Amino acid sequence: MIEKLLKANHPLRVHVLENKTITYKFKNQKLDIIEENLSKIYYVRSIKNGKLGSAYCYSEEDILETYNRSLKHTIPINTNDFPEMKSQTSVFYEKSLRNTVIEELKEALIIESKNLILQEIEITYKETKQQILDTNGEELVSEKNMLSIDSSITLPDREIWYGNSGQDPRFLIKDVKNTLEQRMENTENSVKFSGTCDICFSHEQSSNMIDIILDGFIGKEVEEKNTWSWDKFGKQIFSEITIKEIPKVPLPLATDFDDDGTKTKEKELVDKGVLKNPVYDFYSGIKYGKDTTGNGFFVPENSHGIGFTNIEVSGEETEFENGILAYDVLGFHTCNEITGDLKLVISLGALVKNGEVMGGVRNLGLSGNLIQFMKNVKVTKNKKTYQHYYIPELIIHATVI
Amino acid sequence: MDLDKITSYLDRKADYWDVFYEESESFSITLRNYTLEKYQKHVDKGIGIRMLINGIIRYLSTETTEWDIIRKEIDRLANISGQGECKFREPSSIRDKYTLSAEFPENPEEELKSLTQKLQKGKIIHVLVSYKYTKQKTVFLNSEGAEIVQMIPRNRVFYEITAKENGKLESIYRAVRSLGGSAFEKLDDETINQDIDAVNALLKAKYIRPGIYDIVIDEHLAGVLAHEAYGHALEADHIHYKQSVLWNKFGEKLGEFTLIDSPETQGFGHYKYDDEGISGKTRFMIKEGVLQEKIEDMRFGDGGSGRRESYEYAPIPRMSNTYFSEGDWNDEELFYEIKHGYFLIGVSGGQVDTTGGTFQFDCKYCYEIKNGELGNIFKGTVFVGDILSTGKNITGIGNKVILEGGMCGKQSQGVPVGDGGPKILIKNAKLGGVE
Repeated sequence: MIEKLLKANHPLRVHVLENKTITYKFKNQKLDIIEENLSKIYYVRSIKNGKLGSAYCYSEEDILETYNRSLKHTIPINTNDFPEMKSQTSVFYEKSLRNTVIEELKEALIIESKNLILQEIEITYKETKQQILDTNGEELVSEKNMLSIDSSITLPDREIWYGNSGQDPRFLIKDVKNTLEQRMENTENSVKFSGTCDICFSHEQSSNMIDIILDGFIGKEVEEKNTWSWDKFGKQIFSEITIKEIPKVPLPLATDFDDDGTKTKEKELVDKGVLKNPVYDFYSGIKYGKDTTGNGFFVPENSHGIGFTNIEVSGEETEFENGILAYDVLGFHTCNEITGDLKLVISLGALVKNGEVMGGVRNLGLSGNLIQFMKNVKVTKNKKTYQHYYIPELIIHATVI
Repeated sequence: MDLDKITSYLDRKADYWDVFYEESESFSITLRNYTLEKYQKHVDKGIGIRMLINGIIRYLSTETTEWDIIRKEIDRLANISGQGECKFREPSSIRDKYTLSAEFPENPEEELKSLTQKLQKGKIIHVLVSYKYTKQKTVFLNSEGAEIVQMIPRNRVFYEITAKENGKLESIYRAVRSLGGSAFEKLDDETINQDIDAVNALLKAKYIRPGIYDIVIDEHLAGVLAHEAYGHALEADHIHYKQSVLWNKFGEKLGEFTLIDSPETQGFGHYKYDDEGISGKTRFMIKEGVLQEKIEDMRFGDGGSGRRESYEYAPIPRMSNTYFSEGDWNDEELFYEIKHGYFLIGVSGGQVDTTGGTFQFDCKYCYEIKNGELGNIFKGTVFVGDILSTGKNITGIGNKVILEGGMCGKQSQGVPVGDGGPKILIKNAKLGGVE
């Protein structure tokens, strides 16, 4: 059926995305739920008479009907072809992961504490295969697999969560267990604090902060002057922080080509505080007269989105000796992507004085603007891989209440 | 999908099983400054199979219709050894069909263009508008003979406006959601003009100073308070695992208010049967201040609130339409109580840590209140609250309830919900800001 479709007399691509995910959920060491998801999605994208159409289905049998739907619901596009695509196979696949013994991983993650009410452990193994087929006879194939380990511990007065993902089970276990134990110890005794101080975000919260910055690089929003960064490219607006996209490094979002089929490449997004260039997918590149930067990213409901692969962050390193270590932060997802306004609550953290942890802090609110926070941002020497990030902890200066 | 073949096979495999088959059609259209940017129609279908064997839940979700693949995966999951502690209360044996009719707009593109025209005023330089409908049909079957077909259509209209002056940007967004009827009809000109005025005024607005203030929250924020502060903390899984500060507070008085969760109310979170085939029912979670009921699925209670985003997920306890019931204060009386504080307006997000008891929600903007009078506009702020103490600081409840539609996220699953309430006066509220 796909072969027949690929004989169309206008540009057309079929994307086949296969996923297999298995999650084991343990509660207090007992297996509670096993969830398995198998999915295979067929996307059809076509360009005909200056119009781009897209639709998807779950069965190859429905692909012709899906193609007809893609021709019916179209948006204008000022081109007659997709970007060039050359056949290639890219593999970020670790064979030994398939044979991982889940029970052994679970055993290694058990936290001992007399106050423990509940420990939850979730171990997920995910395999994906993506295939893009073109009417020109070209074919791209990408295979990946990954392990995610999450655990939360519930104590009488608090819950501590941490999780990470990647291809090295030994690193993941050590990282998750050490992080949980350290946070449990550092927050054991509560202390009160409010005032202006340095705030050192944990690796996961630092990656949330960087995610918000990356929103300012979405080409179509920059072109429409609909983001905080629209007039700031080429200028130094942050302290000497550098943010790079590193698609070929074997972290969870590694890929040799984006969802449009364009080759990905390493690029600096922020160089020592200077915003470099916005990023574009195929569609927004055409619309605004720019080349695609290999940042096409689509999900079922949006077949021409813009996204990022793996990210590396570095900056001016400093010792964090005084202030708040922010472990759990609520509110990053409510950031205003257009103005950069942030309203956060540090729901769990620790107060540090002269390099020593004084005790746990809770419920500290802070507001402000991303650009202000990033003007004086510094980083710790403690850089590690967290999901698709290679990132240190970010330190900002703010007033908390 | 041959459901008979699947269910016959499951009879031989599991102590209890249920099957959730789903077919949904969705349509979405987006215009950016009048230009068509997204126009898609999708048809989704898939199946979720849940088996309870030796106290362990085994869940398979897939879109495949190939029997050999489904059978192989059922076998693989069923054969995983171990003994868990999961038990289900009495499962459903209901057989019924429930369908809500859909009266969606015939030409949403024209409606969006007309909306853009209304929004492009003053210093507004950018207008993004979108419309989406979903018609979801589900079939629920289980080992006890239940067979329930439900069809619930939902739609929503969304806009985001950005104003610019001297290089500075401000933006406001709004989503209006509706069950069967058109979401456009729920969006009135007064609301649109209020947003236009606010985004223009915000160009000159400042941040508030962080501090402890007396505040009035509007009806939409009251909904977030109901949902984030109390609703999530009263979900039966959190209560069971002591992951809620409310787990041991039943029968105790938390304040002077009444909080309801009701799938029977025709809000955005409405359903007749939950995703475990059990009738949805109205719960008075907090009645006149006393903590009474929790949100139960059939694992952690009697059920009626077991919901899932789609066939890809197993059901968990979830809210439906959650709201504070009305009090008897009018607006003037609520503001009169405040010497120096803020009137918080519009929701831009919320979150809760049920175990620690902290919640936060953000407002879009706020007005200063001095001696009972509304003053200058300020940028949005964050309200940081503690579940146990906030209720006792509620000292006035307005007399008009508004219920709004939204989406709620829990364990990576989003489900449609309604939340609301009247305006509420809260003393000693902690607000974030800039010195």
